[in-house]
Formats: sequence, C-alpha cells, structure tokens
Amino acid sequence: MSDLLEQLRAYGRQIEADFGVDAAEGPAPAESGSVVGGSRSVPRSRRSALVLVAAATAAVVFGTSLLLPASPPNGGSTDDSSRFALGTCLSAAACTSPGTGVVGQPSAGTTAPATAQAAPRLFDGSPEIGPGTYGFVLQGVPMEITVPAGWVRHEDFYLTAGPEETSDGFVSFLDVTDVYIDPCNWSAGKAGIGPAVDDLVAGLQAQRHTVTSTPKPLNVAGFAGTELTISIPADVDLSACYLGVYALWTIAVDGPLDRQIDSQPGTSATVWILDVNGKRAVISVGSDDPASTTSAQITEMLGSLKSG
Amino acid sequence: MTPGMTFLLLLSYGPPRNGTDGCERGTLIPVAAVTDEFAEFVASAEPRLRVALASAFGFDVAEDATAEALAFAWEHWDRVLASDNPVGYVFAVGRNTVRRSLRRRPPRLPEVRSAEMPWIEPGLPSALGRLSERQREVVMLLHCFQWTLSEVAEVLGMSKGTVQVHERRGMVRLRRDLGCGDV
Repeated sequence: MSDLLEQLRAYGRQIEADFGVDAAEGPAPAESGSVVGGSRSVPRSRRSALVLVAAATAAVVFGTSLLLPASPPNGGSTDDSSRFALGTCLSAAACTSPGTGVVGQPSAGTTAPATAQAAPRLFDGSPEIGPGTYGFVLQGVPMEITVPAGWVRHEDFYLTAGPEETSDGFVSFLDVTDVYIDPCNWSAGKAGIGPAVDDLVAGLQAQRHTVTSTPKPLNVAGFAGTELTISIPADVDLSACYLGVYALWTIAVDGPLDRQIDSQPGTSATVWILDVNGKRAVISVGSDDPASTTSAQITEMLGSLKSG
Repeated sequence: MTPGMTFLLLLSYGPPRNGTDGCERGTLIPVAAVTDEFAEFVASAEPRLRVALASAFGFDVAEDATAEALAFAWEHWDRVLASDNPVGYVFAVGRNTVRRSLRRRPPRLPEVRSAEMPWIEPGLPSALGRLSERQREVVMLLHCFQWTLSEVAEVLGMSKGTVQVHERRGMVRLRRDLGCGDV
C-alpha cells in the first residue's frame, strides 16, 4: 500500500476536483489555469510543480513557482548577524514528508519541458536527493540546478541541508502571494500586495517588526529583480503573537488556501525577488553560519542555476 | 449560486452593526467600510469554513452549513468582530448548526475512485469516517488539503499543540484501522 500521507493527499485532490473546494470563488482571479482534477499517482504537492501555474485566487491558490538566481546569494548582502534559519518551514505536518526509501536520482542534464506532464525532477520523489543536476520548471521556464550530497527536498518548494530537524541551511523557491501587515498580529490581515516585484519589496518594507535591508537590483539568468535581506528581530515575543506565530507571508501552493509561512525571531534570510517573464518568483535562502560548508554549498547551488 | 455569491449580494446592504454610523443593530444600510470589511471576511473565510465543515461532517452538508454560519456572521457582525478569532467563531456556529441537524450521523465522505487511483486504499474514506470528529477535521485539513498547523488551529479554534495531539492520535488510529504500519 502506498504511503498513507500520499494517499491522503491524493484523496484530498480528488475531493477538491469533485467538489470544487478549491474552485476560484474568491475575488482575485486566477492568473492562469488552476489545477483541478486528478492526475493519478502524483501527489498534489508534486503536481503543483509539474504544472507550474502560479494561479492565485483570494482563497484558492495553486502552483509553486521555482526560480533561479545566477549569482551566489550570499555575496555580501546578508546581515552579519544573520542566522539564516528563517522559518521556511511551516507546520509540523507540512514538513514531515515521509520517504519511500528510494533516493532520488538526478536528471541526465536534460531540461524539463514546461508542461504538466514533464516532471520537475528536483521535487519529484522521496525526500532524499542524490547529488547531481536536476531539472525543474520556474514559472514556465525550464531550469537546472546542481545539488550537492546530503540535501533533502521537502514538498515541492524547498531543500534543506540534511534532515530538517538538524539542518543548518535551506534553499526555497516560493510564489509569494501576499505579506502580512503585522506578522505578529497577523489576524489583522494581509497587505494585499500587487503582482510586481516592487509590490513585494514595498510590502516587506512596510511590514511591522520585520527589518529589511536596502534593496539592490539583481539580474539572474536574464531575469531582473531585487535582492534584500529580511530579519526578524530577536526581541519579538512569540507568546504575544496571534496563535504564537510570526507569520511573514503567504505562498501559493497546490491546495485550497495559500500557505502561511512563519518565521522565528532572531532569524534572517536573503531573498531574491525576480520578474520571470512577467511573473514574480522568490528565492529565499539562509544558513546558520555564513562561513559554514552549508553556506558555501548554497552559494554553489544558486550559482549553478541556469535556464534550460 | 454559491454561498460566496449569496453574500456578495447581501453585501449591497451591509451587515447590521451596532453603533456604527449611529445605526442600531438590525438596520440594513449601505456602509462601504463595513461591507468591505465583511466582504473581505467572507472572501477569506468562506472557502476555509466550507472545507473544514466538509472534513468534519461530509461534503453533502458543508455548503449549507457554511452559508448558515456566514448568515449568522452577517446578522451578528459585532459579535463576530469582538471575537478573538472570528473565523473560528463562525466555524463553531457552522458546526453547531450541523450537529443540530444531523444528530450524529456518520459523515458522508466521497468514495475513492479506485479505477483512477488503485493505489489508494478504498477503505480510506470509511476509516476517516470512523475517526473522532476532531481527529478527522485535523487529519483531513492537514493531510488531504495541506493546511498549515496555524490555519487549522485558527479555524478550529484550538491551539497548535491540541491540533498536533488530534493529528497524532488520528493518524495512529487511521494506520491501525487500515493496517499500515509505516508513516
């Protein structure tokens, strides 16, 4: 019998297709075709990456964006104090992706076609991922990235250096849909940012508590964007935050709702916000120690990104 | 017509709100700020309420229960706003509505389309149905619909720790019921 969690995801996908629980009923229109319906054995979270649709509705968002920077991320732009363990990770449930014991194999240098059927191999398979070059699709653009040994993939949008519980670094590819006005009192609502790179930059700069560095222009594999560092002050008292969560922003995932991404006080991350053929994509990376092997690996990984 | 559409129509009048613009409760007036506020709430809460109620009680009742809960919210907007957790408050309203009408009948969850997905255990919906209401809500929201712990906690009106407890117990029971030893 297949993994129970995978079965639950697939069952949820069937329900969503049958009952339209993720149908676009909110006010914000989907950017492009929503993924509804049933691919068979591809878990929902995987399928989002397959289709690469950054479809967003007010309450329904599908798709995961993946993108690429061409230059190393840590190039002097990070805070000295940054402990990059920004809470890429979301909930316990979201982060526990059981493996099947089969280590993923890298692609043979091929690029993934930007179709729903072309598996973005980077996030297709068990959590364990062998070293090598993997193909994936970023906002419709075929990409490749070289992953060193020891990294683990989670869901369809982020990698950690080793198991998440002990990881000291991460690389995440996000389709950020909105930012909370006040990440601590996040029940007060989101900013309602627009779709452009600058909209997200402005949203982060205006966000309460979160500290942002001066934005710098960035050009990655031909895609223009902005680089900045975001830091969560160490003196934020989570116990005073709504539900004990510092909710930074939301991302598009293949599910009935945008996914909330929360962070921990005292952490920071380097963020690239890119305009990928008119679609915004975010890559967020961090490591506990900028001088660590993990940090160097992140730099190499991001430096290896190229469009197919 | 979906519940969301229904409420968008109602919004042309706006929910009654005590003390707002000098109007007494129950007075239907067009107040842009209030309608925007309520529209925003509906847009945000309605899909979540529907999925959460469906997970708890089945999809055959979720639409109506959500509509009734939002109707309550519209009529008692002050009370909802005063709540620490408006969406959780409205979810509780919907849940009570269903409980009153269903009298504890088992939830009706859709069957697995085994011809399309033979790798899914056909008994999964039944096993989910045998979980406690809370366990089923949590397991389905987290794992079928991939909500975050925070989202589940907010809508169900419980702490994240409590969500985790229900999830853990629900998954243990589900695994035992389905005869799978892993995960």
